[in-house]
Amino acid sequence: MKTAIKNEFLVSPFLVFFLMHGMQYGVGVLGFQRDIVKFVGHDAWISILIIGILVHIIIWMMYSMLNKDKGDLITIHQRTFGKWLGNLLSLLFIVYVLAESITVLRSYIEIVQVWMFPLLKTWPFALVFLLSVYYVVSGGFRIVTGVCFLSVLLPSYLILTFFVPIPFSNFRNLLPIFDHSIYEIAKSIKGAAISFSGFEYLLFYYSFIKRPASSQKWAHYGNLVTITLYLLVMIVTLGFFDQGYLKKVLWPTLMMWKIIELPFVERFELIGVTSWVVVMLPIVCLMLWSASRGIKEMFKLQQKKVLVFLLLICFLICCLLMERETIHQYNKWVATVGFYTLFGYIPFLFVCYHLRFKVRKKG
Amino acid sequence: MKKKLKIAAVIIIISSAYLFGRVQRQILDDINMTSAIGYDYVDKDTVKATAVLPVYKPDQSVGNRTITASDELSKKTLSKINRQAARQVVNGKTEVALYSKKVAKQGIGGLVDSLQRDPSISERMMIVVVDGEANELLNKKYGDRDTGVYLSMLIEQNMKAGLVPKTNLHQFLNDYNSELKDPFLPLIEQKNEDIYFKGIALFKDDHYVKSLRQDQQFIFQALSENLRLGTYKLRLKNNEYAAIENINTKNSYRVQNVKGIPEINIHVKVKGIIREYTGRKTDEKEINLIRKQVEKDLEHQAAAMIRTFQRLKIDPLGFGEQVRSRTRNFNDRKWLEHYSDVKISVRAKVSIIEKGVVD
Amino acid sequence: MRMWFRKHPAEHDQNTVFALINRYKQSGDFVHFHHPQSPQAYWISYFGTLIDVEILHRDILPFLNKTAFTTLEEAKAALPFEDVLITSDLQQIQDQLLLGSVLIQLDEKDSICALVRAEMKKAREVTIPEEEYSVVGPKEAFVESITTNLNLVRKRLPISELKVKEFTIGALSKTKVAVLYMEGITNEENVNTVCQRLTDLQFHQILDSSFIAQLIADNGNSIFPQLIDTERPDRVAGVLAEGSVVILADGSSHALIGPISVMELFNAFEDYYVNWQTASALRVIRILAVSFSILVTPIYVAVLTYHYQLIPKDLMVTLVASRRNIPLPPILEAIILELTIELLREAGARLPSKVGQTIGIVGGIVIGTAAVDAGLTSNVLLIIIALAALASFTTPVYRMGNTIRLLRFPFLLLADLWGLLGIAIAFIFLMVHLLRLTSLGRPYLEPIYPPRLKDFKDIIIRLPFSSQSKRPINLQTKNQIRFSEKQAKEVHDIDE
Repeated sequence: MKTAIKNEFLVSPFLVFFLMHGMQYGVGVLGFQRDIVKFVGHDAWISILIIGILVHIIIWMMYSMLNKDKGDLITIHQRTFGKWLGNLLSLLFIVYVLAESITVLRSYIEIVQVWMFPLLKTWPFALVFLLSVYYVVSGGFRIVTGVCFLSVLLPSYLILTFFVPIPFSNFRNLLPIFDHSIYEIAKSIKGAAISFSGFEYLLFYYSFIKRPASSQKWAHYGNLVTITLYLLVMIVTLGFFDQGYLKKVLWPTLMMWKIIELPFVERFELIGVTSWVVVMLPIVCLMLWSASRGIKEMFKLQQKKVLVFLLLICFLICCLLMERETIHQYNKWVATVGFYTLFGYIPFLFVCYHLRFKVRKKG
Repeated sequence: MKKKLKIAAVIIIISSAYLFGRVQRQILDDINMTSAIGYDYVDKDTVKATAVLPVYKPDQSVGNRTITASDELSKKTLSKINRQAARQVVNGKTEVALYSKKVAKQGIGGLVDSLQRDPSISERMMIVVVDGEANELLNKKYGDRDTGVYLSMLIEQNMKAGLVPKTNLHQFLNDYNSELKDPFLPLIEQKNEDIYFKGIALFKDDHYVKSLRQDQQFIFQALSENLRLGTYKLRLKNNEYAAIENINTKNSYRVQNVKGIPEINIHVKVKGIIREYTGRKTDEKEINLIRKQVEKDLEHQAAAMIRTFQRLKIDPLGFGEQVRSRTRNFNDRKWLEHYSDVKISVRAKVSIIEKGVVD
Repeated sequence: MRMWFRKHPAEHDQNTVFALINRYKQSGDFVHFHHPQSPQAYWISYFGTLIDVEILHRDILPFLNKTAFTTLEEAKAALPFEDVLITSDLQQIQDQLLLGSVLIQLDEKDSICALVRAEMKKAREVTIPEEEYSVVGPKEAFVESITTNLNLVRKRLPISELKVKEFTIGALSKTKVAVLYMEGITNEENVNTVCQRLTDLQFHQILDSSFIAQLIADNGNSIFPQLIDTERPDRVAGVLAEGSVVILADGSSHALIGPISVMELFNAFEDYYVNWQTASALRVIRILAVSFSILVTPIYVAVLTYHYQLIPKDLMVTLVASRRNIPLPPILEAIILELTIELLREAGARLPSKVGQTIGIVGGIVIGTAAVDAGLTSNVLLIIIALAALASFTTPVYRMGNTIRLLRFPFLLLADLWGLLGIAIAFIFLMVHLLRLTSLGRPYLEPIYPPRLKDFKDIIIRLPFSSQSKRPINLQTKNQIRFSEKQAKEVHDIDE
């Protein structure tokens, strides 16, 4: 039903590691601590572990669907729900992807506006950034993967910076362990799960992997590394900040960078914010690639034209989000939708897909 | 045609970014970087801010210039300071913030807020309390650098040497925002042509309440952190003096009876080298004597100091934090209520590991 | 100029050799004369400026004058040449005459004639490489003659697997282009790509191999060289054995190598002549120097324009004091100094000898000192720019140095716009550009992306020869194994 993708456009299975990790590790790292600490205080790291395990399960679910289907989200939807309903659901999913890409971009621009240039206008920066996104995505999936790969490797030196605040930290803050109820932990998971999103794009790029079934372990490794890094950041944050202070700080990770002083550079947070543009580039790129690819498949349009159209939408909405409060409201909305999509809808789809398959087998 | 359209789009994007995307420039030689800000008391609502602006001369020497302005808000004073300066005043390189004792007594929460809200302020900035007028202290030039850098170098050097407890803006904000702990800051004073450390200023929330004298400082530091390079001077019964240096301390807290009113036992291990002794000989007996004396002194000082803390209901050493980290379902309010009744005892164990090259 | 070469409207009776000769006679250097006194009278014609007169008088005329022949076949047998051509094909005659052949006819009006190659082979002696000079290793460089160049390569690879495919490119220049590859090693796909692109080439004049490099590049709008050009025959032999394709062009003293990856631009062939530790260290230094060269001036501009907070307090005095009296903003200061350096370099390159460079550098120091004294630039920036310029010359491939110096300007402009963030944006564009580039269809950023750990053995670092037993994966060679890894591995204990 679908033409196979040419061999030269496929990527090696182990690159899924970078696709997985690079997508999960984004703007969230700079300020995810608040949403968890708000509910569970010093037990925040437990929530991260639990989210990690949940994500592993969902990755397994997605592979179980995709391995059977050998297609992507669009074909899974079409097979499970029929052509019309399936396409409608795919379209809704793509709208969510687009909304998430706007969140990422606008959140980053906000960080730049707060930490570096208070007078920076949103639109010129968004325009230049989206131009680079176009440059990447128009190169095809191989280039998107390449950007993902380099954007994981090049800023990886930043991991070292998370160890610098340790002498200023007091790890007694983490004690006593398990001081919060399951209900509180569950609430914190809902608040922070969106920071770990990014694994769902597997549903789009699965058919671009060579020997896709063998890439599953790499996807799990990718998630494992993400969880480890989030855990590291969380533990250092808990040691570095007092609970009372942490609840006030909007971007704890950036605040931690402020303590770093190197012989040739003071005020590391500026370098951190700058490096983060490289970290978040592949995220926006892969999101827009997925969205445009999905639309191309559903409506048989030219992907380049779809891409330009999506970039325009992205740009316009970014410019419309002006104030901190609107951005915050928007992000919260996307986070809620995201939580239910990732941790509710994908398991639901998993069940539906397999049920459908069984019914068809019998019939 | 399509290619031309593409090229045109790229050119339009780049040129519009250049035309409309400009951000405010802060060219290094067109700005005045405050290196220190001091706050003095004027009346109940108004503070007087003094900013130190280093003047860099082409021959690489640095002069000192101060500008003073008063207003209700700290940021507002900065804009008033700006009005008096030929170059834009920025505070990203502020090394030290000084608060006079009088301002500190009124509470510095509002003033500190402008520091924690501003992303250009370093978390490593020093905050000190001045016994006297901050303005007077800042107006003088000490050493070869401007007063701000001089002060920060002075404080940093003393912290490294273990003479002053390690504090910075981050630590202060942590303690200030904490429900259980109270902040403390170094207290400095200007005398003649020099600045020296007078002791430790203790705060309740953001109000200055009391200062610790220089001689109580050692046990304070030993209880709050693990010192690496401390010094301690003691007076023996026979009117001889001994100085112990290169002191390593290690404290360990034990909390009992967490359910009811807790009991805190603190063990402090002190290891040091005798550097100076006015007595005749440092044989084993003498050293033992010194050791015992130090232990007794420390325990005594600690008990007195902690009593004062409990009386004032302040907790700069973080006893509450120690109890909290050992208690499930810790209740803040209950702890704060019972704080003054909690039994806290300190045991010191001193060992003298070396005594120099003569007996 | 073009109309001079246009063929005259060919009339019916002009389509003969005789007419051709008559047409050529209009050029002053065309010689056409009759030999009546020898055993057999014959006509001889040639371009006097194209042929070697010595060959004519030593090897052609005496034999023709001595022997009696009645047909051209007999004349061919008499001449000591193995490639005498007897033809009546007008086009061939025309081409051969223009390539330096001597035309022999029994009668002026005969349409059949013999062609003897006697072209003048004037070429430079093989000299020491100038661009890719190395202290150790062979000191031969290519010259402008393709025959000599092929000889230099064949000498180093005396095996039958070395294949040469020849093309003639350029409607006007008729340049002989040779494609070299190793049969059984080189991937046929790469050879075919090159051949296909050469055949499709539509350009009137190929004066140097760099014309070809620009014309067959995968992305003609990129400032990165997508083929390496080298003047070292040893390098050519080396990469041929590795599985690359090499292009030689007549009249050019540079060979083109492809496919390449960007990291190869930091490899000097000298790296193979020193031990691997030194070579690796030098390569790392080159890469650091290039990054430094691209980034340091933009960072200076960004920090001084926007991020004063980054400067450590001990450095502050030096920086501010040096900038105190400068009237220009950092960006203008930097651009003016960069242009000055470019000016000095360009002037130095145009001056006749290496003295020019020395004068340029001395001039630079004098101008620099004067500019600092006059308060036009800060001495800190002067040091930075001079170091950056120096660092850009460390690349072993000359073209890469130009690329690096040019790359700095977009970085500078973006640094002026958004400070460090601008540099990051510029970096992103550079990164994506490199990701998208290909060299003869092979990824340009290999082995970084696609990541191939095994190829790092000879990229960025150079491991010892014993661990180089496999050819680079990027070239997709038919025979991956270079030499057998199995060596007599003797296990020695201490003192045994």
